[in-house]
Amino acid sequence: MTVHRLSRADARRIAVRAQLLERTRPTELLDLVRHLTLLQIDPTAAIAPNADLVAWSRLGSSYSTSDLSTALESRELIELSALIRPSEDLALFRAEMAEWPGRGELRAWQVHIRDWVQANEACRRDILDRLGSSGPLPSRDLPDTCAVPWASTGWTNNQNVIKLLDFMVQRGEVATAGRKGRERLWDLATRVYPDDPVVPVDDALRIRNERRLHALGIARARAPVSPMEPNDVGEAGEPASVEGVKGTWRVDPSYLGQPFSGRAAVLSPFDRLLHDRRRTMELFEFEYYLEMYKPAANRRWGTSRCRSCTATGWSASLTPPPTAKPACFGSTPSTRMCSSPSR
Amino acid sequence: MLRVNAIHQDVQFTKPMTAAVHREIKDLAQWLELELTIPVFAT
Repeated sequence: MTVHRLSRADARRIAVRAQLLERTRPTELLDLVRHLTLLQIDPTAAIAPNADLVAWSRLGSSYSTSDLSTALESRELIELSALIRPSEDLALFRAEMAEWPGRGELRAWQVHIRDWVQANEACRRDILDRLGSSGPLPSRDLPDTCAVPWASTGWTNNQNVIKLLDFMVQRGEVATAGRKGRERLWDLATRVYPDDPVVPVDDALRIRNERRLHALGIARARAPVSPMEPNDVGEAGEPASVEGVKGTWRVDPSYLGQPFSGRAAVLSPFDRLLHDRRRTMELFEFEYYLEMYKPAANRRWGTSRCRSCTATGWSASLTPPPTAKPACFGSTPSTRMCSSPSR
Repeated sequence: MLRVNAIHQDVQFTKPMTAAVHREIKDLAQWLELELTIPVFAT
């Protein structure tokens, strides 16, 4: 197959267009999420929650946060492992859930979590019983009857019910049924997920790769494992090279040779245009960090530093002042903005 | 209030770029229903 040869400007324009950040804006939230495939939920919401900011940066001020709430309440959109997805896409995950913790020979960490869940089988059944009779419920209303506590050097240490729920989501047994404030409400997955025919794992992975590439425009076939959502796309799309960048990419051919009209856009620090740090550096020549989770003494730029750029190569980043607790947004074009919201 | 402390230009802005960035920030403040403050040194 022919390898498409792209300039960096070409690659950037494809990435921006694929993320629906061109001058012509999308108009409907559901269409937007179906195209992007996901909206990430993150507790960092100094100005507004990430999911809302991502939607606003595409849809503009016609977007109302109630649109997202309504879509979640009606289950047109569903939360899966801190990502909001179109409900119909759940069919692309159910077969993989049934194979938890994975296919074939398991890695050590998969054996560890499998054994931990098995050791807490009684608690798992207690949770299912409680949700079955009284769900949806917050995790604090679920019984912690774990025989073996969850051990971690991080904040999840001894957070037995939280960890068990995470694994039960991965197994397709429970689901986030909604939120009360920031608190997740849990219920049986059968009450939350649509009863669509399950797509076999191999087909589902292929379709997810294709849709991810359509949302990203250009990506690597293989990339380091990324939590929540992969950055790579397997064999989706067609091979491409980018001038001045080593290696081969995969590009969605539907974006090739299209006219481009850009605009300025204020981006959330978690925006998928810049989420893949390596891609952001390679395509946009943009070093990008989030430092809000770093100890203050280890921060290079401040609370966070967000960089982005446009298809024409303008860079954008943000460096908050050390005395403030600003919300930080990369924006395009050519902007670093430091801002502090207060109500 | 949405207070913009600084806008750092990684490349020199043209007038259209400056206007476009400020329009976006203004739109953001309006969407958030916050009063916007951009100090002169941030522009």
